[in-house]
Amino acid sequence: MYSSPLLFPVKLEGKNIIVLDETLLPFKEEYIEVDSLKKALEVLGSMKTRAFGQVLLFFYSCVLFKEYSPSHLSQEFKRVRPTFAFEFLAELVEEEVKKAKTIQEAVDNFIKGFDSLRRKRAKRLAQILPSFPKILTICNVNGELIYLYEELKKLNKSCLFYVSETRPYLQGTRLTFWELRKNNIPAYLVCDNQAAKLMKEKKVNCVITGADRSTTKGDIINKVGSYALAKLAKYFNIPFYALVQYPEDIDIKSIEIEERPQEEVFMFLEEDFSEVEAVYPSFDVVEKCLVTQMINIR
Amino acid sequence: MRLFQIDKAILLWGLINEEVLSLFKKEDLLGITESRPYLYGLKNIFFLKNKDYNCFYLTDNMVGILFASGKIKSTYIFYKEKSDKGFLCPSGSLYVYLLSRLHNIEVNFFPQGELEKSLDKDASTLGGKPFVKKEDLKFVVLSQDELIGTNL
Repeated sequence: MYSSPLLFPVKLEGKNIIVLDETLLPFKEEYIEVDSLKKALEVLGSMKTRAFGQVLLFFYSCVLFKEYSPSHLSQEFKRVRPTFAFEFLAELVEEEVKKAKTIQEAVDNFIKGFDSLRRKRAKRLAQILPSFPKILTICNVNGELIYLYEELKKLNKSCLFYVSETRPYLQGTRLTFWELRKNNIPAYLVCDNQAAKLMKEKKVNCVITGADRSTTKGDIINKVGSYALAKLAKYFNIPFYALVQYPEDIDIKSIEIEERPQEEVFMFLEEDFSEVEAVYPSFDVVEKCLVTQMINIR
Repeated sequence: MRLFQIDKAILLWGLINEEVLSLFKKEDLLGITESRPYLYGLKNIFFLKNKDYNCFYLTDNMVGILFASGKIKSTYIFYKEKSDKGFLCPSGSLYVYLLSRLHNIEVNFFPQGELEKSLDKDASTLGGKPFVKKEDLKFVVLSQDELIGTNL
């Protein structure tokens, strides 16, 4: 049985939201208790959780902090992480509430349904991939690669992952490589810049990433470094697949790309960087022409 | 620093050689890539800051967004050896070379500066700090020199 705490990194326990502190992985598995909106925004802003974790954090904030409407909460969350579509999550909650008795029931229904959809998405991707996919991936898709591995096994397909470390937060190393190896899944870790060599030497035959945003036209926004992988994959004629959810009918260029504080570029290093200038765009836009196929949640 | 402040920067990759500085003006904006796993970029940026060059730091996976948004006017790659087969360069150079070429950015090759021992030899550590459990170290791909051939 394969599992990862990253499948559900945020949980609701009584009157607290319990958040897996992803910044401490892989050496410490610790949880943070969130009992106020202020704390929730702190946890979000300091990247203790991200991706599906921030979705769960938003939903559970709607459950616990009922003095604020989902729409108001989405604005607060958006102020902290501007690229993500929290306003869309607020609409989802409001829509679900119409069908359920309470916000909690609406959120529970949504999360349960979403996990089932993630499994189905992994199954569809497994069917598309070749008999021995050698997959290059970046950042972390919250355990879904484990679902993919399970589905590939069911189809008697072997599989090998190459995980790009994903500077500066090292989500590839600390989250994806860790969760794959923890489940004894064949996975190798590489520096972000080793991608071209892997592709040139035909050590990978597909690229799979998540997507923080996507459009109905086929463009995605994902972790910085995704564009380079897509561009190189196109050059080497390697398919690039993106796991997306709820593509929006918008112009990808209208989405604000979050730029994080420059000191975070050096977060794991020990020298004094106070005099050094750095850039930290958090996300890349990958336009449709570089995306072989979006694998939608629905 | 924000992306909008960057315009027509010169991207430096690898271990810079002091001799190359004569090619740059103090008003040029130099983008210093980290150059994992060895972190040559750290050595480069402190060296250039001390000489009052106008420079900024970026991790290797950020070069794509800079190219895509037209922020880079040229790339300098510092190589280890030159032969009739091409340039033997540190791990990761092919990534920067191809991305430069795919965005029609001119690439200049220059011999690298004096090599110092790095704390890191692959993605398992950063600045000597481990990020991979001991039992998984055998699953970390060792960084190796890359040949940028004349045929690419």
